[in-house]
Amino acid sequence: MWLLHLLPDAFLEFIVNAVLVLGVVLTLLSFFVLKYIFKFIPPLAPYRTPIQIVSVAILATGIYFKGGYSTEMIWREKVREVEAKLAESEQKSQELNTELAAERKKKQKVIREYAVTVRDRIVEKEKIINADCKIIPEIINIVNDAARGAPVEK
Amino acid sequence: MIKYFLILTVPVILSGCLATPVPVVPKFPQVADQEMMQPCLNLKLTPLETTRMSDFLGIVADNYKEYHECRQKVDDWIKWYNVQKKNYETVK
Repeated sequence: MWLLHLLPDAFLEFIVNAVLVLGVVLTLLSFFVLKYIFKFIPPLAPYRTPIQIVSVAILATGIYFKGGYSTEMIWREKVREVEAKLAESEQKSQELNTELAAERKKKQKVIREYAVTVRDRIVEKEKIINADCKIIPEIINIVNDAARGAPVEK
Repeated sequence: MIKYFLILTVPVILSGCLATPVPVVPKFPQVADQEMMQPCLNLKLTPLETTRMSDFLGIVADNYKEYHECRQKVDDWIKWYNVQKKNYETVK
């Protein structure tokens, strides 16, 4: 049935209906009309069964194609619906992304500006801070170890 | 003979209704801010020769800033995930 994807809808529908109608007509003829006709042409009578088989085969092919075509059309419609929804969702996703990025930039600016004010305060109070406090290597080692954190495999 | 032939045609006819599903794959949403894709930085270490408390304090303050930025990034990722998931669920 995947081959049906390659054909245009109108052409496909025409072919399917044509085969179906041909099958119906031939089957009706072969089962109900031919026996009367063959009474007048006796040499053709042995061909009645093969003609019936061929007619039924064409009818079956017609019904098969009709079923396949209908299913195909239902699928195409579903795909169209899902694709439309996806396009809408992708558009919305883009908008949300832009909103989130703008919001993030604002928050980041606040964090960085605040860090600058803290730095300024340290500079401002530098003399008082450095007056009585003495830094020894032990303090630095402990703080550095805390900053490095536990050796976790990445 | 024709009777058997008719019976045989039924499964053939029914198989025509079997559908071949067409895969429609949604695109994975991308992050607008590429900075979010960067890992958090390592914390700054204090040089051993540091003697002034203000220098030491400056490095500690920088590390706190780094933590706050990283925390913000994680919060943003959580928000991004929830927002995108909610949007994705509207497609179903």
